[in-house]
Amino acid sequence: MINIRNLSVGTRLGVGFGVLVATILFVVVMALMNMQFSIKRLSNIIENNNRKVAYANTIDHAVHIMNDAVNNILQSRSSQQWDLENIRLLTAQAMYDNALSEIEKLEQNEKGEKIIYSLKTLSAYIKQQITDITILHFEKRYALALKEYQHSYRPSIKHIQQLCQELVAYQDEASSVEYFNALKKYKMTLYVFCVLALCSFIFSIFTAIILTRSIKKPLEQAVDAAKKLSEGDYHITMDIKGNDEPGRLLMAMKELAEKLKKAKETEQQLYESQKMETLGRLAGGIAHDFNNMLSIILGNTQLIKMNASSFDEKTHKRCNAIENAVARASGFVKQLLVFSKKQPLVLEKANINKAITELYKLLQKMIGEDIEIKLNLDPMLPEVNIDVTQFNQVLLNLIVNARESMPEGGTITIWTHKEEVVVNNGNLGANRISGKYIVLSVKDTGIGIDRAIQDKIFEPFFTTKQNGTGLGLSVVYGIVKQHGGFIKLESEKGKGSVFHIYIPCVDRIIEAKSKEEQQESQGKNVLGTENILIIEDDEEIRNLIREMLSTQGYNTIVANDGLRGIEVFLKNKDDIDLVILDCIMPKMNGNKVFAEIRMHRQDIPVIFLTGNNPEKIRYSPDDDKNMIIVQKPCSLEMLSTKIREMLDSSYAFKKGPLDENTKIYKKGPSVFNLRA
Amino acid sequence: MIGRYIKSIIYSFVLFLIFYPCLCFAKDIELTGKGATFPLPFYLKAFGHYQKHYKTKINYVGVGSGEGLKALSSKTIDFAGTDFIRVDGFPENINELIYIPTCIGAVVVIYNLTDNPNVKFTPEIISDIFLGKITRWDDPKLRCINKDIKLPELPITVVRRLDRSGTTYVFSEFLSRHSEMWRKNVGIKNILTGLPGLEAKGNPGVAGLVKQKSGSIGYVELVYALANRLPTGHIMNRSGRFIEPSVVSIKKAVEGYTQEKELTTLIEAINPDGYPISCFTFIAVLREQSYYGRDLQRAVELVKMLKWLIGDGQQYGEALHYVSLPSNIQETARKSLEQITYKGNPLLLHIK
Ligand SMILES: Nc1ncnc2c1ncn2[C@@H]1O[C@H](COP(=O)(O)OP(=O)(O)OP(=O)(O)O)[C@@H](O)[C@H]1O
Ligand SMILES: [Mg+2]
Repeated sequence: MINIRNLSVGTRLGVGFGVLVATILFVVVMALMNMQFSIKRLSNIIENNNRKVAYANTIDHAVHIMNDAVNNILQSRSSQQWDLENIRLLTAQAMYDNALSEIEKLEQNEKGEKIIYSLKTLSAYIKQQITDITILHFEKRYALALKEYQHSYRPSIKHIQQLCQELVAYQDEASSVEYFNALKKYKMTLYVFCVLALCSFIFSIFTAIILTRSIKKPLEQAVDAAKKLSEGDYHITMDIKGNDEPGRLLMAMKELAEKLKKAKETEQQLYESQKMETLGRLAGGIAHDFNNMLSIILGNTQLIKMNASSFDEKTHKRCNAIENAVARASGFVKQLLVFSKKQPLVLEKANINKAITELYKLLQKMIGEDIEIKLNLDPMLPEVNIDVTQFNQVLLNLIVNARESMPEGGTITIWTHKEEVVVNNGNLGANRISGKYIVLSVKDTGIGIDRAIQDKIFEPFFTTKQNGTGLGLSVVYGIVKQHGGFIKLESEKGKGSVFHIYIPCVDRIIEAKSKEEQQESQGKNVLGTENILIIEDDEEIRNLIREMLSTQGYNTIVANDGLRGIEVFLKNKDDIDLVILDCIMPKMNGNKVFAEIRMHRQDIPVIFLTGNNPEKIRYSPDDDKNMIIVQKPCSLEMLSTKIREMLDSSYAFKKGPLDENTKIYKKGPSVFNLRA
Repeated sequence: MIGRYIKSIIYSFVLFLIFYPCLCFAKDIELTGKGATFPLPFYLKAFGHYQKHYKTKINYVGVGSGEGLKALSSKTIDFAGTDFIRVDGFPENINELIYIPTCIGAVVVIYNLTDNPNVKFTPEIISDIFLGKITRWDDPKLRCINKDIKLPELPITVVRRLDRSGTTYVFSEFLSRHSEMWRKNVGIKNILTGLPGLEAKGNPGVAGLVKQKSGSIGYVELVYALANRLPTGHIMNRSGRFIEPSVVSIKKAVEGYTQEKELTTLIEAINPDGYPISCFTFIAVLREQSYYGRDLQRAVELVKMLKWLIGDGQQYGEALHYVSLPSNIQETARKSLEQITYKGNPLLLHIK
């Protein structure tokens, strides 16, 4: 069966109407021809009959003339008369023969042919008799001629006339039979014509229905689709059968819907990535400030602990509680930093499969008995550049989520494979790039994720759990992003979820921050590389400061009393850029040390640390621009700011504008890690 | 003794058996001829008389001039009756054939109308009727020249000759001379084809058909019209007179006829009282008579018969409304007879 939808509507209509017109014409022509034929046949029969009868009459007539002529000859004694009657005889015979041959042509019936045959033989016979009679008469044997005439000629004539009558009668009979037959046939054809007309009528209706349906159906589909599109539903299913005009319309609509769908998706992705980006910045900023505040809290707590250690057990305990809380808070902050991609990656070539199997060993014990973990790892997986620790965190977070989604137990399936990703709208969804990826998939049979919140779960602090932090997936997101990969989520409420983690085979670690940004952010932690001399008798404070400064990138030299301090200073007097000096110290107090330093170097910045009594310092910043007084206990933050300020102003004072090179900080670690 | 007697009887019987056919053959010769129906009544009568006197039987069958000449050229008969001399279809026989004029007749227009009125025709009107241009008896053209009679409101049915015929030849020659239209459309033909109307075989056929069908018109030799009591048209001659065909008017036509190089078929009347469609009829024979195993006696008998026909035989024509050959034509005919040879020897010399 050919699909008529492959023909264009125009062709279809054309062919349809053509066929209709042709059928109607055919029926009409057939009917007319049939009627013509029947009428012709009927009139033929009548005409034939009439002609045959006419010829039969002619024969009769001819015989009559012959009889008359012979009669005349017999009665006449004039040879002139005989001659003329002879010619009449000739004429009559010609008439007879002519009529007979004409009848013969028309006759098709056996009976008729028999009669004609008899007439023919009689004709020859009678000719002979006429000759005999005339000869006898011409020879004046009148009696004999008369006898011949009466005994053989007359009966023959009678016979002919009888045959003629028979022929006419038979003709009438035969033709009436034939007429009846023809009439019957005529009626029959009329009936056939009626059936034919009915058939063509049904055929026309059938064709019309097929045609209209073939046009209407796809158009209705198109209308439906258009409605759906206008309502914003791009999930259009259409069955496009032909390549006619409606078919092409549907095709175009389908394409349109797909394009719209894709655009919407891209828009969504763009929005998502921008949202995440903003969130990341926000979280990063908060985390950083938070971190600093935490370190201040911690530092001060430690100072309090130091100061209080000797007399107060209680204070010590409280300080420890604060320290613990700060440690936990800094854990959050660390995760936030991961999400905002501010965590530096320690990349190494690694096989993910190996990382997974190692983690798997640990997990088996950790995860409850009601949960089964299945591994299905692609052995041909290539090695990729990843930060293994962070990758472990990704896997762990995913597995934890999976387990939490299955309170009744179930199966977690982890598999890896390689995949070639082709992104055809790479311009819009900047977060996905075509290329080779390795894919880690974690599947659970848990509660699944509602479609409505699927785009929210990667946001930090989004959680549906009572004790959840909402940071697990945002950490995953941040790490994956930093690795240049992306996440694909398949989930249906009640049926479970699959997280596909795409890590590019080629290094595409995203430099999330610009260089300046990096410097800026590092500058907050790594503040300088200058050499700083710390002269402080209190060991704890001395270490605290030292630790802080070294984390901030400075080189530190320490001295535990004034004398030692001078000693060290003199040894490195050209290299030391700044001196932190405690006021009250055994052996040699701060004032003396300061005086000594100034003796050797006027330009060196000095920070005086003082306890409760700053008046003990004999020098004042008003006299010496290169010294300040900081009262203890001070926040490390403030101290570090002051250090930087002093250094910078001493450069300005001493060396003029800051040299570009001095601003390049060579040390990598940028996270101020309280816990570490 | 007896044995010898019986033997001689047997011998004589055997001899008788051998010679009997020869004897029979020698006794009565039967000449056969075929052809024109135009002179058929004349020939039938004349040959009947000839047989009575000379015991030579002559079979003549009226099949039309064309058929007759065909049979003669295929050399299956002794002579052919024809009303035309030169005609397409028999060129190869032209020099082998000798045409002997036998009598003069007239082609007349016959018709079937009630009360047998005498209708006048001009050659143009006849041409128009036979070409199908005039289809009714009450056509104005016919009425115009027939004011004295009432022409019926009848369609005209034309009857033509079906066979190749000398009568047709003469008739069409006459019409060609006088009607431009006929000359262009038909010309001189021995058969008329592609024209409307009915067809019939021979003169008797045409006469019979016309006799039968009212409103019909045809052309036959005069005697057929007279015998069948059919009216004949009065035809306009060169002098503009409408002449009734009769022995008298034919004779008048022949009076002015002078023979040119050869005999023509049609005789056009110069005499104002002459009938315009008179014509000769001929008997054609082969110049050389020793064909198809014919013996001398047969050839002699043929020439003898022909000689009689143009001489003493002429009397039988007059009774049948034919006109006998004038003496000058008789002379021409005799000269033609002289040319008939048997193995190169002229035959007429053998006959007293
Ligand atoms: N496999 C999973 N099945 C069902 N829901 C999940 C799945 N993974 C994550 N979710 C949903 O995503 C939310 C965010 O997850 P995320 O890991 O970021 O935070 P959390 O698990 O709620 O808290 P935390 O990880 O700190 O315990 C979850 O609250 C949960 O609703
Ligand atoms: Mg979680």
